[in-house]
Amino acid sequence: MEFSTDQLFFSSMLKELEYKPKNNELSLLKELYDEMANMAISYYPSSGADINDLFYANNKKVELLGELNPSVFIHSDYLHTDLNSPDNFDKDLRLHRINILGSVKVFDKSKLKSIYIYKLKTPISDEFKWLVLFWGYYNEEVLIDLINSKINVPLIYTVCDGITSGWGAGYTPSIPTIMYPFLAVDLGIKYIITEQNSEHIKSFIEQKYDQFRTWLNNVLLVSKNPSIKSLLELSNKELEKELIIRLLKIEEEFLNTNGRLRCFDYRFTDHMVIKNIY
Amino acid sequence: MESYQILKKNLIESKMSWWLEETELELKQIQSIVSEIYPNLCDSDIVRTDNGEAEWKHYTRLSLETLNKKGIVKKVNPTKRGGLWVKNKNISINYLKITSSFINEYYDLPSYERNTFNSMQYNFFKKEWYLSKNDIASYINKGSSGIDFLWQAIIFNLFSKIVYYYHKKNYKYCSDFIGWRFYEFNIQCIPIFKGKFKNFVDEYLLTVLNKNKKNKYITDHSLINMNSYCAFLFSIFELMNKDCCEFNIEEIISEIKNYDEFKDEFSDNPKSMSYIFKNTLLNYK
Repeated sequence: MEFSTDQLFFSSMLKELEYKPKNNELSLLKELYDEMANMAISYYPSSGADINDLFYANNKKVELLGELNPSVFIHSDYLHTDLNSPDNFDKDLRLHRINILGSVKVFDKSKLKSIYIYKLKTPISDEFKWLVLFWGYYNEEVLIDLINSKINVPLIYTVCDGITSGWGAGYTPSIPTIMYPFLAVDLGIKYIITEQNSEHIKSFIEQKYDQFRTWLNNVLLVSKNPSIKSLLELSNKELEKELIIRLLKIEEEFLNTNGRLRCFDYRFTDHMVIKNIY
Repeated sequence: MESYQILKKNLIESKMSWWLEETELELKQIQSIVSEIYPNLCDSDIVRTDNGEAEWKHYTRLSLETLNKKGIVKKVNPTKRGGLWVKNKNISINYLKITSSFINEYYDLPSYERNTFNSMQYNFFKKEWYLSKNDIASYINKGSSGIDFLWQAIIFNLFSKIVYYYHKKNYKYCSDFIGWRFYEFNIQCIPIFKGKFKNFVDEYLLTVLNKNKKNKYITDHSLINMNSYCAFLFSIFELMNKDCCEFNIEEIISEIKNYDEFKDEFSDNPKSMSYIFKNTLLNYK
């Protein structure tokens, strides 16, 4: 069957941007499609321009990932756009000595929304890596398309904020990423790398327990998991209790212990954990 | 406090760090080195009333006795007066290692940022440090700690270059790790010295040295500590191996020995400091 962009999980977004493939772009997109079918995927919501996951979200640095070694890195960020200088991000990649082997860049007319697809060679590996950026998009928009396309995302890499409707980043309080385990069934999540460890969750419970229902509603914007919906039928107290039980029973391990660096984020290195989702 | 008393205090506190371990020295040799290192504290006109011996020589011997009691030095033949002294093993090397204070001082060296092009025509960001002759002189005036810092700085620069050019897969890991463990701010790249190792050590530093009355002390201090300086470079790689990312030390030695870029880092003149450093490095065990 001949490849068309309709086969990509973000085809509706491409259509919205009135994208028509040029020159060799179709073959690059087909390569991405094939790679997504065969290789492990990692998703970084609210990524900004951060690319630490390209260096650290792998089983050589984080041995606890076992055989999981992502080749496709999907990023999204509502606030981050490349409005004035579309090559800035290319420079960022090159600054980190990442070779860009191919790219497709799609914008809307205002450049408030953009999709970048990169085929990369990073300095840490001989294998190709793929980076797909959705800038100007809510994380939910990407999550919905991934879930609807039944694409497995075994690794979520998420720091600072990253779930669902809300901005964070100083505009509003950060939306915590602690609810991602509730998307495990929809996305086939096996691991989450985050700074929001169980201590974080405990402090959220103490300070922001009244927002759990809102966050769960946000999960329901994208999830097809019926058990999530049933949680919302619980009273506030019952819901709080149930969420705490579910979130705190997830096994986690601190990544940067005994002075050894396994995963870096200049803001949160000391707090980074890997959560093992069953 | 009299000058010879200060001398004793200095000798005991420094544990005579210039003295290589397991090296035997005659008392006269020790006194000769001490007088070169501390010329202002070795006034031979101040003599003892009982035997006419210079007080600084007497206090040097007293310092040796104290260090002997502390297990730092010992007499080769305890029954003999005078004679040979030896520095005990594992005590003499002035161990230099990466510390937060070193890294903070290194990253705060006067520097400027610039964009440049590498051979792949990729634009990338570089931060280069420099030290004026006045800056170097002010480090030298601090004494051994200042000289050690200058050596550490140029060696850390060498480490950064080795990783940047020949272990690029580890470059981000190393700079992230150093930033995390030792520096309080976010850093994207390790600042490097603009010129070659030999430019800094043989030309830049030497120009200042030649104008400095402490020239001999500085040269001797550098030569005596050459092993420590080499050990410092290896200690950085060992730390990376332990806590950050893998390096093969033998491979690094071979890179320094064989790669054209590094051949040019060091002088071919056997009398130059950069040559001596390279030679010590290649033979370091």
